Amino acid sequence: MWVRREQIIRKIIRLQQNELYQLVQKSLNLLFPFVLIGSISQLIQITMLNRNSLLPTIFGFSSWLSRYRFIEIIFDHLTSLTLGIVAALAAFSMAHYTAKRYQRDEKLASITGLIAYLILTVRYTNNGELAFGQDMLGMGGLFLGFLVGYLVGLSFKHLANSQQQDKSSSGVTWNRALDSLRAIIIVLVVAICFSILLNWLAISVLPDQVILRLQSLKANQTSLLFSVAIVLLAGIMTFFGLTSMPIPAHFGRNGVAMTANLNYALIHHTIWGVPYPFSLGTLYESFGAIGGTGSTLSLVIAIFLFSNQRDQQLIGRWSLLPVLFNFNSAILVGVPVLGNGLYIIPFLLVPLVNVGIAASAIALHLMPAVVYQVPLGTPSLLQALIGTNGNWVTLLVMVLNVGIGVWLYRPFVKLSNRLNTQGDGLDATER
Amino acid sequence: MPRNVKKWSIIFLIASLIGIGILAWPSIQWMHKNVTAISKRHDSNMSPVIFIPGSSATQNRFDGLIDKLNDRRGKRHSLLKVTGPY
Repeated sequence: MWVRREQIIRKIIRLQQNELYQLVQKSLNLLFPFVLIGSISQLIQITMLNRNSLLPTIFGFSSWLSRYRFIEIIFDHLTSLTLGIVAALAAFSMAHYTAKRYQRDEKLASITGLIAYLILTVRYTNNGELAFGQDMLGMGGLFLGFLVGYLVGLSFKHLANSQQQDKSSSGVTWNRALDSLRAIIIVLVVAICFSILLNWLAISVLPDQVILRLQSLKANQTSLLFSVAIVLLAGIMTFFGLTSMPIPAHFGRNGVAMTANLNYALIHHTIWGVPYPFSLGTLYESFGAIGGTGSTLSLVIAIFLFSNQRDQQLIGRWSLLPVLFNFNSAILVGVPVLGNGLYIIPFLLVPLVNVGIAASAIALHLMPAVVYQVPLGTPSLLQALIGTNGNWVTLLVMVLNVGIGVWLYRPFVKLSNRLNTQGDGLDATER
Repeated sequence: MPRNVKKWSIIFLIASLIGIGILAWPSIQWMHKNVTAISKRHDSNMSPVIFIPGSSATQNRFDGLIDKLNDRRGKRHSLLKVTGPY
């Protein structure tokens, strides 16, 4: 066992020394403040200012909110302009670090990366208005953003002259622009070609649609196997920044199976023995994503309990409130979890285990399945409690799930501590 | 890392959990009310049929038709006649 752990550590260290990997991690670091602000603004908007969400409903200020909708719109736009354009920012920062790595002009490269990515997401409309495909700009486009940024950086490597450290000239140096001009023009032309192609084919390059399509098939919604497969798929795609579904609210909730369950409950006046107890809607949102995809609430708690790193503790603290309400973008980018070889195992495993526990509890008739629609902005810990109309056993299962999640995340948080101290040692010897 | 950092993280966590715990009671009360409302709506599943007579007809324009409908079925339909102001 010990030997295997050493092997894992060595593998992760090798991965962390990989150049591309380091570039991605550095770029994620740069994105963190904006993702955090976006998440907090999203949290405020959805939990407190949306008139259909839980807090306004139970404390009765919904009607007041509908009179002052502009307050919600302010936060909505703030979210759109931070969290909502994170993929474009990823292209920006990735181009920056890649160009810097090859000693090219990183400032021009980053601006080129940003513009190239925005061009890719442009939707050409008949009335000539400037419009962007929003799904490609948000968290779901992260992978694409990094890819575009990296390619822009590489283009600068091959097409631009290396940056001259010419400090003698006074004021603006025009050489700098001229050195990179060829690279900028070629990158933008290529971006326009791809953008035209995407518009012409009218396809989304994001795989979100695959999940949505799969889960709209009636036959699929009902079996446990399908639910487990979708949980895994959602985890993998989130991990690699390929899906914009960090809020699983619009995911698995309004399917045929859920409607059948609700009808059953209304006809028989009981939520015990619904026809489809193991569907996505009963298992995933309530139990498989406590704190968002990857059950990140467990990760935050594991960081609080076991991390010796000050920055991780602080990132955890900032992300805690959004995570409690299922908005986990900040913790995914901050730790970072995304693309981080260290966390892939628990990130995929914890939701599966949690779904398994919930499914067994339902199968053993310890608790009923989640049947009722839960309002927007419900804390993840209360989802099942409210969705079963107040069955307290669900809360116990929830606590058990979070506890097991923390236990599964614990070795990896400790490993992160160890890698951090070893990394510091490495830095010290290099210096 | 100073021990305080971890301590404050955990205090913050506990405070947040207590906050959410406080939410549990009112939200369950609300959900009880909500579920009662939807099941009532589900149980009283009526589909009203609205008849509108021509402009010169009286309230009793459809009496014959309604008698016939009630005649065929054992149970009598509920009926509401509404006449607006001229």
